[in-house]
Amino acid sequence: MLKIAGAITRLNLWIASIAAWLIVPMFVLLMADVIMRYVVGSAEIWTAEFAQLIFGVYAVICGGYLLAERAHVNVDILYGRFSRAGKAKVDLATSFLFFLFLGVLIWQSADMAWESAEKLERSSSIWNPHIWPVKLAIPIAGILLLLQGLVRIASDIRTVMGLENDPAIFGKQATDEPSH
Amino acid sequence: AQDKVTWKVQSHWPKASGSFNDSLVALAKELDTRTGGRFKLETFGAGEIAKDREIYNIVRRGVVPMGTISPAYILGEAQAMGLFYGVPGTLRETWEMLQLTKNLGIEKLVNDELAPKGVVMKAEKAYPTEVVLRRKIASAADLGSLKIRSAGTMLEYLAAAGASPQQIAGPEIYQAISTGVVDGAHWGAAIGALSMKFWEVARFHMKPALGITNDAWIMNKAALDKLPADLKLQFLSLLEERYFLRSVEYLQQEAIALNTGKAKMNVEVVRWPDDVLKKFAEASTGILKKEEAKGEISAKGTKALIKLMTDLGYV
Amino acid sequence: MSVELVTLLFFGSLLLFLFIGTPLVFTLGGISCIFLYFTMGSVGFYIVASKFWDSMMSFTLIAIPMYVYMAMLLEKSGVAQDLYRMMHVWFGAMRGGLAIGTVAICAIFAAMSGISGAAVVTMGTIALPRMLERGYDKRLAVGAINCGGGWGILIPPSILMVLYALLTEVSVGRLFASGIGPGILLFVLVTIYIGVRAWLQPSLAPALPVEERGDWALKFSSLKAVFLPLLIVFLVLGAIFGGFATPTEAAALGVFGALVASAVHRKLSIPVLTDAAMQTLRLTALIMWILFAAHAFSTAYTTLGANELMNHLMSLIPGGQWGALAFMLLVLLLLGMVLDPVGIMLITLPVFLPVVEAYGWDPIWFGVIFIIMMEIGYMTPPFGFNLFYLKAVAPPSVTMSDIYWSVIPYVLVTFVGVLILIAFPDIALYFPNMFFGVSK
Ligand code: NA
Ligand code: NA
Repeated sequence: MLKIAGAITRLNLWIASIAAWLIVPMFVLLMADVIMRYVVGSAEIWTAEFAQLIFGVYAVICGGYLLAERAHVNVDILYGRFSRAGKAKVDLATSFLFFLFLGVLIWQSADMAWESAEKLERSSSIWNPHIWPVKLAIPIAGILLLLQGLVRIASDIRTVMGLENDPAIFGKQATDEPSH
Repeated sequence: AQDKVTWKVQSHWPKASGSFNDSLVALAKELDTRTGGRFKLETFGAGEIAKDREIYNIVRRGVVPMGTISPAYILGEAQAMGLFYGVPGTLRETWEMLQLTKNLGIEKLVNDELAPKGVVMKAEKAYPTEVVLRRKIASAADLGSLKIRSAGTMLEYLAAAGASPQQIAGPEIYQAISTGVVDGAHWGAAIGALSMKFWEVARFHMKPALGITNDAWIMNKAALDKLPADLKLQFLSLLEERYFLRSVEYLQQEAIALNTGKAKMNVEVVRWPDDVLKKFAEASTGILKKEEAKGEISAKGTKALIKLMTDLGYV
Repeated sequence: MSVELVTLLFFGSLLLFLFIGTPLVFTLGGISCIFLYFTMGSVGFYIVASKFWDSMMSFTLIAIPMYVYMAMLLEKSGVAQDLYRMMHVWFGAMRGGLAIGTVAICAIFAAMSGISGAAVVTMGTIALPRMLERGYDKRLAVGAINCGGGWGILIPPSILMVLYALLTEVSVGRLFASGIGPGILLFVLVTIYIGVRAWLQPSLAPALPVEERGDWALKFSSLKAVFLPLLIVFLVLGAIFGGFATPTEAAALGVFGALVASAVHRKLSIPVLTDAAMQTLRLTALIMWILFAAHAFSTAYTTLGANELMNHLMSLIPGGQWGALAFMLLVLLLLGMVLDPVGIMLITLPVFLPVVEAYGWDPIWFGVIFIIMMEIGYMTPPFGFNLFYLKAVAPPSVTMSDIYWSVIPYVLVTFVGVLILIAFPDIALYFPNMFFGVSK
């Protein structure tokens, strides 16, 4: 089980390290948009739209990474005062919201992406790119987050049981002090 | 006791817009009156539940039973959708679009394809699309230097005619025109230019129209079929009637809007130069060929359109 | 169940889970699912996926990663540090000088970007550590960024103003112009607040000790630190107002400027680029996941019958124009605590506009007040985007409770600005009337 948990955490970190570089093509495409409109006289019609599609993937794909890093923001006014074990218990008690949200998201976005892929959906613009791969990014991102959530549950249970968790396997751990 | 029905309707028009009131709210009121309060529509402005293309998806899935939509959002859903939306540069007057849509069978062609997908589309109104520009142009050569904000088929049309169509996100169009990122744009015709205040920053209103296009109602087929027979009949008849009433009402509102622009915003109506019109005509022929090539159904629709244009003496 | 009761349950559960410490995204998302099921059955769940897709395809949001990347580069290349050292050398003798300099930069940033989040994250990254390390009180510093960062929607360009214009059919240009005066007003008010507070309580925003202030030689040599940031400002604003780019496209020029600045500082290296890219991804993803869930949340509330509730509320509206105005401001303040501004706009504007018309108010003037109320909404606890964005970038020593408390004086100051605007509508209407002529 430790092996699987470690693999999931590493997967999410790895995906983030790749996705981080998507900032470069987004930047280049937007610059190209501006430059070509003025230097060449007419902007290529696909640059902005391509940047948009990249942004779609970029925005959604790292939900799991955020969880591994404990970076999804919360209100720590009470939470911050709890001990590590206390935090783990609260997380476990409210995890039903997480599973409900992720269950619905994965189910519905997979349905949406499947339907889109089935008809090889395009964007209806003049460039008319395939958009189904970007839709597919939503359920993939959802599954990545769900998996990391399961790792988090395991980590919380272990914390409650008084076991130490290796951050390399279970992601960033709560401290006894207030934190993100 | 007779069944009462309330439908949520997700519009693609903002709640304060003319079309929201004169098209959707007007329909809701009339339906309420005719059915003695048995069939009510609960209306939602653009984006309240969904917007743009997602309106098609929420209606098809039955999240809401009904919406309003531009066929341009969903060109890929039916071969004849491009014809239903309107092919730029083909028809010149609104009545011609009414004829094509209803009597010459375009709406039916679309619905034959949409029925298995579980939705029904009905034309809502036909209206012109016209460009506003920051500066006058004298020739087709000038057109080449024009950056015009456009979308969908219109964008293809402008490009084919030699302009440089640009894609600018909706919220940034006004500023893009005012600072000169683009030289012009279209948003419907006069009513759209007035409501978006484009004329403040681009006072040359170009005629003739790029084309005549349809807005549409879209209904979930299962929800429609579940209506009691008498309500369904009343509803569909009313939609049919509203298409004609609303399209001609819209023409008068267009005239009022343009006059307001001339009187208060110094708008000048300018005719596209003749050589530009010639380029438009060539571009239109090209797009029509593409529509025709989509498949058997669209070929059938294109044939009807060309027959109409021939009868009108346009080709 | 009445819509009032459902509303209470809906927002009650939001507050409950927020205060227990459940991450905002899962709270918003989970509650949305429960209530969507409750009103529409499982078919309503599709809305969650639909809202994700909508936000992913929203072009203006691309400005967020661009400006965040710009900020990260400026931070990691030392450009930001030099800028603050310069400000300290020049304004160090003045208590609160850095905080005032920070809100001035916020105002400039507001003219570059049409959204609020980009400025908050950027300034939280660049300015907050600089103020903290120079002994500024964390609440004073955080509040200044929270408040100034929100001006992006008031000082043109502004995406929220475009939405207001779209919903009310007023002129975007006029509305943009009307944001200039109030933007300056708020800047002046916040500056006065910081200045007076720092004068009364020097420990909150200490002046630089006399021996560290340096001589004129140091002062002038430190001035070169402004050139690179100024270059970026000129690039971005020049592109926007020179008609070279839309505000979103211009954000890429901000990155370009930051790359040049880093190169000039000889810090342009793969590790710097990588590090900045990682943090940009992290912050953008965090902001976007909050937006995804927040949009699902306000849509869930719409389907619950928000419109019906608003209609009920408007039947309670007291008579007289001042009563009506006060009532609407109160509704906006309360909704601003629990909903996102776009949702609030869609829900409230259709019922507010007839009132605006009935009393013959200028919709531009009302629009500016509305926008400032949305800005207050961005910073009022418990739910405000700026609060959570700041939490995401602030060092661990800054807790959510610090951030919550920090906004109180700034909200009050901003509200004073609203009252001044109500008393003197010309502050808003001067520029639009000058640019476009008096309306009607
Ligand atoms: Na702005
Ligand atoms: Na708030």
